[in-house]
Amino acid sequence: MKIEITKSNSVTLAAMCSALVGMIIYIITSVTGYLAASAVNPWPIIGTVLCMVLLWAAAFMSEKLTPVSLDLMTAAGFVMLLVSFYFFVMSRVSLAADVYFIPVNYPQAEATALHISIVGVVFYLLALLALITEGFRKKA
Amino acid sequence: MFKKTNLWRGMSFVCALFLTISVMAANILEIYRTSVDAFVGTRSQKTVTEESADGEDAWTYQSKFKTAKEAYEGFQELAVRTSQETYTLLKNENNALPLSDTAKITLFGVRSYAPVYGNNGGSVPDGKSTVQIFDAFAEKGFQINPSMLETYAAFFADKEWTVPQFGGGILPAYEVLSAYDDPNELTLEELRGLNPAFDKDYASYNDAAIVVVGRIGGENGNGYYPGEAGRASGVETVTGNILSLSEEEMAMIEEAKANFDKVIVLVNATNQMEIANLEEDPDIDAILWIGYPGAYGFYGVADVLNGTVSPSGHLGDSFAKNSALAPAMQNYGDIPWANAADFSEAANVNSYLVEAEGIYTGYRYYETRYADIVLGNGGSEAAAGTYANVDGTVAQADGEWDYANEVIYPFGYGLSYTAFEQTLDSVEISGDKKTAAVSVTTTNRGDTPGRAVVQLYAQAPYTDYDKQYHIEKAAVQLMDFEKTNLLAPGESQTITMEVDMANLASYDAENAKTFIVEPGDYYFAIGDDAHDALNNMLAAQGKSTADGMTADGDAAKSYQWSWDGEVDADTFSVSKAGVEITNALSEGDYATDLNAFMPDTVTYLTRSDWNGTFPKTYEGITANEALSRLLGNDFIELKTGEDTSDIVFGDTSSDLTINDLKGADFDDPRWEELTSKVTIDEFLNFAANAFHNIAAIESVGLPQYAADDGPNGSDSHYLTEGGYQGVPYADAAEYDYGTRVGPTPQNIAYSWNKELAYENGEVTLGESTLVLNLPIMIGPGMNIHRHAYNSRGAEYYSEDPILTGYIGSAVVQGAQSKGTLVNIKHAAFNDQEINRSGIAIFMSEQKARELELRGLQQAFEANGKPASFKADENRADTYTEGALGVMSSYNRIGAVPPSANRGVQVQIMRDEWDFNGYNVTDFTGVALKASPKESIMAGTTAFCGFGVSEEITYWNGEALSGDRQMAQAVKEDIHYLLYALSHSAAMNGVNETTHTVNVMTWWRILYIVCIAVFGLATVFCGVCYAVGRRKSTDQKTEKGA
Repeated sequence: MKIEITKSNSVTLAAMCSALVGMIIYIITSVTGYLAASAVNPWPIIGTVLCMVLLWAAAFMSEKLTPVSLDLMTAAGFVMLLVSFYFFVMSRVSLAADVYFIPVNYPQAEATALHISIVGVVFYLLALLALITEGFRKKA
Repeated sequence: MFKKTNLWRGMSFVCALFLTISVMAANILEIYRTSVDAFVGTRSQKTVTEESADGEDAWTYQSKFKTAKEAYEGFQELAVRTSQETYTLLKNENNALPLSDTAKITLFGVRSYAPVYGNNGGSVPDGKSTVQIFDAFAEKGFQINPSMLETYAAFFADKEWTVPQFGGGILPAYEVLSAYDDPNELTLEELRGLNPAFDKDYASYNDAAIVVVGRIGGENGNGYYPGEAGRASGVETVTGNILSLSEEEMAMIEEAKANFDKVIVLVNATNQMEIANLEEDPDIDAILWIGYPGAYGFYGVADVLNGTVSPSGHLGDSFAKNSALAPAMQNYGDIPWANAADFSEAANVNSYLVEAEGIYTGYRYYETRYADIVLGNGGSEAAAGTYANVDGTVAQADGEWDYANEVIYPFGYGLSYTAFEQTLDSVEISGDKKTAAVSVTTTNRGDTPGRAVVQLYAQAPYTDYDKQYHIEKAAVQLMDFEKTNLLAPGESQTITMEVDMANLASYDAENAKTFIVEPGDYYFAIGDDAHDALNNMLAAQGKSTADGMTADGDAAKSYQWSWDGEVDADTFSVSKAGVEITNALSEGDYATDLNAFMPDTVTYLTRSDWNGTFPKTYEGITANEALSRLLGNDFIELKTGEDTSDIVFGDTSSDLTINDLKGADFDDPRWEELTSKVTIDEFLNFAANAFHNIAAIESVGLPQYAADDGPNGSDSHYLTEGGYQGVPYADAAEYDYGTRVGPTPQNIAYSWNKELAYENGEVTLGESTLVLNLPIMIGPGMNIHRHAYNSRGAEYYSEDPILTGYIGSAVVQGAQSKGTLVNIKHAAFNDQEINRSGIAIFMSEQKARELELRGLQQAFEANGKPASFKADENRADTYTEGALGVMSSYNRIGAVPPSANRGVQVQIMRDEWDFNGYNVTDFTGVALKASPKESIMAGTTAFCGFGVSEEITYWNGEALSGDRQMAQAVKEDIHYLLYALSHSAAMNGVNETTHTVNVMTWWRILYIVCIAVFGLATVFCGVCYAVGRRKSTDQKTEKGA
């Protein structure tokens, strides 16, 4: 397998990087600070890891895959990313509710956890947008 | 069409993303369904009732409003009528007031255009309903100086009203006037800049200059701070405190004085402002306290100014020259634990307050120290920084404490346009010491109709026993009050009050460990205010101005009696419910006395040594091991494996529903059968979904309902949603107005009118319940005003527990007569908004029981029935049941969350006061900061908030069912909540057919359409992609072939 960054796989790699950053932020905000004592929802991590595997394969094994297989792997990676995005957001909704809707002396750490999480969610969104861009790309 | 596979591939990704977002939005909207309803004014569920098989009328509670028009007019009428009785005339030299009906007036001050109509958070006034001050005055006939009005209008021309912190709608207040540290009064130069000829009409509108000064207030405000810390850069004030007038405000007053013969000041604030300089200024002719008048309240202000109504309000708080010198102010604000950082964020440990002033807050401090000086008991010696100079500034050297330098308007003070004479006709104390019948005759000796207030005070002896066991006694305390009818000139009215002598007993936490009365001389006295009454008592003790009194008293207005024998620790040692009263807050985990955890740390203020024990600021305290265990909020271990088989849950063999027990007694044996139907998980679901919501409990047929915050009407809902007995108003669309339109609760207390308070309970809370179908209204607010600087005082009544307790009790009774399940807030000790969530409040048990808890107790025991109700057979069924609901506070009680403090929640409220109702936390959710398992065990039935936090891992029946004490507590809590709801409008219109159905709200339609559209689009794009890819593959194959 030849690992080479080319024009054709650069967008996919950007999506992977962005998703990786999003996942790291998810993990950090889940195990430190305000949410340190809370149970970590594994789905954002599972989804992102599976997404990375699928996109890695799509990026660097494209020559060995049929176009249909390539598209299916990219689509599967996209779905995994959606799963991660969905559960990440849902696990932070209660923070947003506390901080934004009923501003009642919530701990600063709660707002910190929320705001860092929003950055993480934005990275997931960037990853999704990158894959959408990849989806529209005309392939040879 | 299918050739562009990349297009379909990309589009399917886009659609899938939007589908995911739509599903996400749907889930979030459904999770927070009740909150969404509250914010956007929808109803996502409704209760459906078909005609009962037996034809019985299920509408227990009847609204008096059958149309939106009737409701709109009814709320408005009461708001105006109430407001008229709350305004308190503080000064009226040479009968400057009233003005003529058509007086030509000039308004001064930025708040003469944009006054404070109400709180900026919590009990906010409805902006849609608000009639602005200048419109109300003009409508009432006043002719307003147009050039001044235009000048202020120009300032606000590019500004808009804001939105409240909580609830919905429009807040009739501008952002530019929202600072706590700067009144932002406009200077004359600024006025000149807005309109060079702003003063051109002075001469034409010179019947009076009316200057409006004010301060904002509301929930969650950072509040007012004394001294420099409380003032923004560049703000200078008369006393150095933000509650006195700024240089710019004084400049406006000087402008008025320089150009007008008659200057009237309206005090538009609920925090006691430091306005001694105005009282002492001979060029200020009149001062009228108007508090926060509400949406229609300036009609009432005009009615008082023009003499349509004679003012009859009286202060419910002491107005000091410098309120920052009150002993309570020595411990206020953000005083962090030295080791706060050692706790997890979820434990919510921040700061504490040591209320070392003991019982000496408000007039109990000023009047008692004054009495001691007059009686020669000491108290005049004062250290620098603890007393006021003659001008109200802080004395910087040791000297003498002088009442005249401290108090400007005593508690209970208030003038009228007429003159009343009161005589203390008779006092009869019952043989068992428990009650006294006191008759007072009031005669209108003036030439204007008016209402007077009968204020009855008492004094208990301060004895050697008190000194030995650290019991404090106020030299004067309010015992009861009544308001007369409107008395025509020459007319008299005699009112007989049945006084509850339990309120004269003192709590002895050290020796008797219960309430006691002691041998010695006791006094009752009537008076125009607390100081006047005290002077009457001192006169009866042979004292006069020669002894340092500010005025000679009238001994004939007092009554003295003596009790002999030993200290009586029996008469008041048992509650009305028959429960023995003993220490709840002096020892153990639930102690509120910091000395219980850290002996000899706190020295409480005592009248034995005013100067030597004047409180210091207790700062830098490190929570020791005992405190830290409690501050962590996880201090009762949940047991597993205990035999709980005899505590039945989920037994659905019974056909009973809650409807069958509508109105049933708490001891009805059928409750056991009904509560056994509920599973622990059903209870936990109910408890965790209580943000403005009553969750359904299907096993007992309890429908879901919305609820809302008060206490001044519904915070979120409008008459457009209103209806009569389940049928929407036909004219609802024409009345997009709220029910939160009356003057603020503090104003209502200043009316000193129990009957009016009852009526406010009936309408403001009760009719909000019936018109808007909101069985729970969160209110009334009954925390005590500890000092002048808390920013949320407007929502609470007074500094005195009897005024607070009887006004609150009347509101509760009125509300419950309409089926409102009140949530009295906040139990207990919400003494400041700063760090209100998490702050630990410490005080002696005597203070706790004789101030805040004594106030709350009146509402829970249905005390304070007005004399007119007692004399009216048609009112015999009122005041028969105490409050059925409560909301605990944010602050900790002692070291533990309030809802987990068994001393207050169980021993005192449930046991001593026989409270059998609904008990909800303030906005905590099921989170560690609320100690959920400990709170359930302490009788909490619901947790207001957004569900269950992730750190709470035991929120399921399986985890809780192995702990016998927990299982028993859940069972009892189910009984409490079902009992309370069965006695409320939650059962109104309910019969055996009642059930809950989902309503297709606009936001439900929106997310369903989105999911459907994006779902189909995703599939469509995927199919198009597949077809395109297939064709492409076929073409390549053909080419290859």
